[in-house]
Amino acid sequence: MEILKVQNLSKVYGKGENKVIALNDVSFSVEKGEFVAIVGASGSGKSTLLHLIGGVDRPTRGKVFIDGKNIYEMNDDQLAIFRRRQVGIIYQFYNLIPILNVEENITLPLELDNRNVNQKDLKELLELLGLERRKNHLPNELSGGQQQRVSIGRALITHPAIILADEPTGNLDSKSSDEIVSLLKKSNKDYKQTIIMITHNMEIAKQADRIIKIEDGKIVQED
Amino acid sequence: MKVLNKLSLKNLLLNKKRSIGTLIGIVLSVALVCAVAGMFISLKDTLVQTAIQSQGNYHIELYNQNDEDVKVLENNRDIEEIEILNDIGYSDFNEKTEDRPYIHLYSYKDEKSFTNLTVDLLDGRYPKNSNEILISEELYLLNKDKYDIGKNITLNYGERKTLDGYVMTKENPYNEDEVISNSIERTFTIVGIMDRDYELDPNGDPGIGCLTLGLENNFNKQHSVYIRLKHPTSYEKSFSEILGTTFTKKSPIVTDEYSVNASLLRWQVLKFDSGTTTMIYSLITILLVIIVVTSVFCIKNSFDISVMEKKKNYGMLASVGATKKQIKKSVITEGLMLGVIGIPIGIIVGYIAVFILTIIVNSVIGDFITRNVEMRCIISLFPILVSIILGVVTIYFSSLRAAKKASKVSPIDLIRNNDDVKINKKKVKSPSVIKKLFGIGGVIAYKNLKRSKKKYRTTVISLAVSVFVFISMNTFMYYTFSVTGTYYKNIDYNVMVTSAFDDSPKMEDVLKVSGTDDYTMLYQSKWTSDGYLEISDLSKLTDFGKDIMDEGLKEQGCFDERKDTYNLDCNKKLQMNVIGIDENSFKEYAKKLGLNYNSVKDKGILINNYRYINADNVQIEKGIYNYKKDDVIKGIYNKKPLEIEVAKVTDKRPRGLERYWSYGGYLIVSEEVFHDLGFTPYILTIQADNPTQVSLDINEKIPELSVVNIEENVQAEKSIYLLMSIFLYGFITVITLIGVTNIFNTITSNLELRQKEFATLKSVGMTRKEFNWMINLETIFYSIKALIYGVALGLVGSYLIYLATASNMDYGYHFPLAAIIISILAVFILVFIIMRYSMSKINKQNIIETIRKDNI
Ligand SMILES: Nc1ncnc2c1ncn2[C@@H]1O[C@H](COP(=O)(O)OP(=O)(O)O)[C@@H](O)[C@H]1O
Ligand SMILES: [Mg+2]
Repeated sequence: MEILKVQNLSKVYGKGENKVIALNDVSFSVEKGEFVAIVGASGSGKSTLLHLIGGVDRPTRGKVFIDGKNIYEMNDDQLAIFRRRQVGIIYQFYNLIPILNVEENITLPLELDNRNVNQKDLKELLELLGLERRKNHLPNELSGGQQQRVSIGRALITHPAIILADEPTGNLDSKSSDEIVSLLKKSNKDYKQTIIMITHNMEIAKQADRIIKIEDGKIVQED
Repeated sequence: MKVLNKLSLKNLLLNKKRSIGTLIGIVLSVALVCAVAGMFISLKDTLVQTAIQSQGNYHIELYNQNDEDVKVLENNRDIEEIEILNDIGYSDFNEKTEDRPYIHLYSYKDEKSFTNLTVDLLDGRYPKNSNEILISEELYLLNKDKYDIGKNITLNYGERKTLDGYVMTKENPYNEDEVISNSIERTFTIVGIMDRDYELDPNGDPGIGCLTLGLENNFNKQHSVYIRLKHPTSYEKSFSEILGTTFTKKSPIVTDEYSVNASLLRWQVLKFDSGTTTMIYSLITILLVIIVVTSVFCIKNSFDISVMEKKKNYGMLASVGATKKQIKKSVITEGLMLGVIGIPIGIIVGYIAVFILTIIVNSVIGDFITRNVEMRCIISLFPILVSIILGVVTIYFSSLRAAKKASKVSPIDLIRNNDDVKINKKKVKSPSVIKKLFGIGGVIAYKNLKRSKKKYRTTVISLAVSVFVFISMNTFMYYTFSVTGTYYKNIDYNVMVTSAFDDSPKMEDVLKVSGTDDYTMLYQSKWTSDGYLEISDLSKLTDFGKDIMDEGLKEQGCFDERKDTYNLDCNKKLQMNVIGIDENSFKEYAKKLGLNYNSVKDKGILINNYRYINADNVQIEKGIYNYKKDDVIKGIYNKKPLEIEVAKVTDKRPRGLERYWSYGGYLIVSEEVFHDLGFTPYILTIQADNPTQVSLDINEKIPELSVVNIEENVQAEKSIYLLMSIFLYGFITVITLIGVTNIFNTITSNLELRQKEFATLKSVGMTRKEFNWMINLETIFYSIKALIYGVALGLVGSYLIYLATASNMDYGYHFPLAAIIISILAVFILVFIIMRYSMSKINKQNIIETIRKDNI
């Protein structure tokens, strides 16, 4: 089943002399339960692509279908609600809310949606993340790897249609990186979670089901 | 080091918004300090000018100095200038009247004395030699043709002597047996006319004062010497030296030998009268403390914020090897650079404010307070110095703290991207009510407030301080106004006529002049010393009545050794004033008191309260007698027994008597019914259609009477209130503005620092509506918190002000409800506007851009 479909997606920044074509007519699709890695040089347009898929930015041209829905037909508020139900985003710098503790950060999307937190689910998730004993800690009391695990938890808690990760290991040492990647792989297997991950690291990319390579805003290789 | 200085400058320029915020704080604070100090100096100058205008520009006057004394004084190095006045003598003249049978001639030694001692020239010029004379207006009025400018006048002046050869001075009233001896004849040309000068020509002097220049006194060669000191501040030492005895603050200011110009010294030195000056100093101190506290708070906060925002910079500097000292210096340099710009602007703005205020004072108050003296905007060193010192000190210490913070930033902080704000770790359970009422936005807002209290502390304190200052100042205004404002309240007449002499039948003529029916005539007994109802039955007095009776007897000199010189009857008794009132007005008055005219017309209405200011400057008002309705007051009137029944005991006064207080109390009776008591007109009050015209008419046609245009006084009073309001509300406004600057800085920076957090919330799916809702809730939460503190403190402050100013009077504590409501509304509106402003900027920003800032 096709969960994501990207159609002729383009993004142009600036005008005239400052014009930058960050993404140039990109099309591809992703099946449910797939683990896709996107690789490419710095500045090639990977983050731009990811943000467009996640609906946090709007394209210059093209369409994105998630679960068959054209996300750019929605207005900002509809998109926000769609995002908190169907998309989980993980950033390189975690972007946790400093005043909320681990548990609160993780359950934030549910709370925003006025959904009840299933305590059993939460406990299971915390175990999976290895954060059972840290659930009352604040972000600044955690290591980078732990913070990243919290943000993965925050992405997983809603069981979204798709998880987007932008260099989730870019800021971590190799041991923590391995932990994060295996965590993503585990959730991919256990929950049949669809994941699209950007990375610089070919070793990590190789663990994905599929690698998409981008250069100058274009897909140059897919396998 | 040069690089770091450049960096400081770059920081300021790059971070324009924050720098401008800090700059506004500095400018406002400095301007306020400068304006308060400048206003103080200008006010002092006005009072000094007024004192010079009315008394003359000298500090002490010595009587009876001979030529040698003068020489000694001339050589005294403490003395800046002396003026010599000679009493030339008395001369008979044709137009003499009963109480002014002479012309009293004086002469100044030098021409400068006319201006230095402010001789009030009405027309013409000052004399230039001993053949010219300046006459008093009084003389001119006696014969306008004969005593006019350009005419000659021949005087035969000599000494006043009693038959047994005693020399008499201006203090001695005219005695029928006195003669003028040793007279000399001299002819003068009249060159000018002056206002009566009560220094030369005091009440009781039988001679009309006139002035010439350069004549010597031929009889006793004595002079009066007016001395101006070089250093008025050390007047005690100088006076001691001049007088040859120790002179202190407590020494008498007028004796047979000298007279101190206390009103000039008081304002020049601000030391003389302890009560007034203590009040001025404490007021200034309170104002300065409020300014300093608010501005230190604001400026310090600005620096803290800018350091927080530039943390990355400092971490970066540290990581490339800048020492703590260098970083500190860079922050302080940044602060001082702002000071170099802000302080001069502040001083200029402050002086512009003083200038505008003096213009307002001059136009609003006009001549009401200070005759002929305009308030000037005095630019002097003191306010500028105070502003600079306070400004620099404030900036230095504010930036010092921020500098310490900045120097503590380590490269690690930068790398780990630690949040500056320490987050309170304790578990915060948001009450389920909040979630139910406000949703997740409410929960996050609540947790934000609970966990990062420090972030909000400044905003909360700023708001609370502004609310506190506003409520307290408001109470202060309320009491100042209601205490002084009652003077002319509820007065339903606009012209008041009193007689300058005891016996003035002409008072009745006024009614013809004014041509009005709406008047009240009060009468007093025509017997000055016996015209009281003397109550010897002391059981009729309250304790207060007895106390003030004793006090009054003491004042009149009964307990003085020399009491017989005054021929006072010192028996214990109270002298009740019996006041007659015209028939119509008595009817009105009775009606106002709820009495039936017919049943009370042959009775008296007792005004029983007495009000005075005691030695501690506290106003006291209590009842004097125990009499009740239907009691009969028995006493002696004009040496005969008199009984009057009391129709009512009240503190409501008839028209015209509102401002008269006597510790004997007043008994109001109908003049017609009690005509036999021997009444003579006392006070006439008129409600005229055109009070100004009526006052002028009376003044012109019956100059013996003194006329007060009440309406004019009411206007003057209103102007003073207006002025006080301008000052106080101006002050409150600027203090609030400083607070607003502070709040603005804090809120905008808080929101900016949290941009990433907001972007994250949005990226996990918070809608804009939910987001705005969350921010609004946050605003409401801490506004409420600030209001709780501010209002509570304000109530304490307002109660303290009540205790300090008004508790001794009849005014109860006035709950400052209006001020509280205004505060609540203002706080919400203000915070809401600032939030909206910052939010509109944040909402405009793309989520990605914000997140990307750190993520690329
Ligand atoms: N807001 C922007 N304005 C202009 N150019 C941008 C903006 N954001 C990204 N770019 C440019 O778009 C290109 C792609 O950026 P990005 O998707 O972040 O690359 P990657 O994540 O692969 O390193 C880069 O050349 C970048 O400079
Ligand atoms: Mg990128």
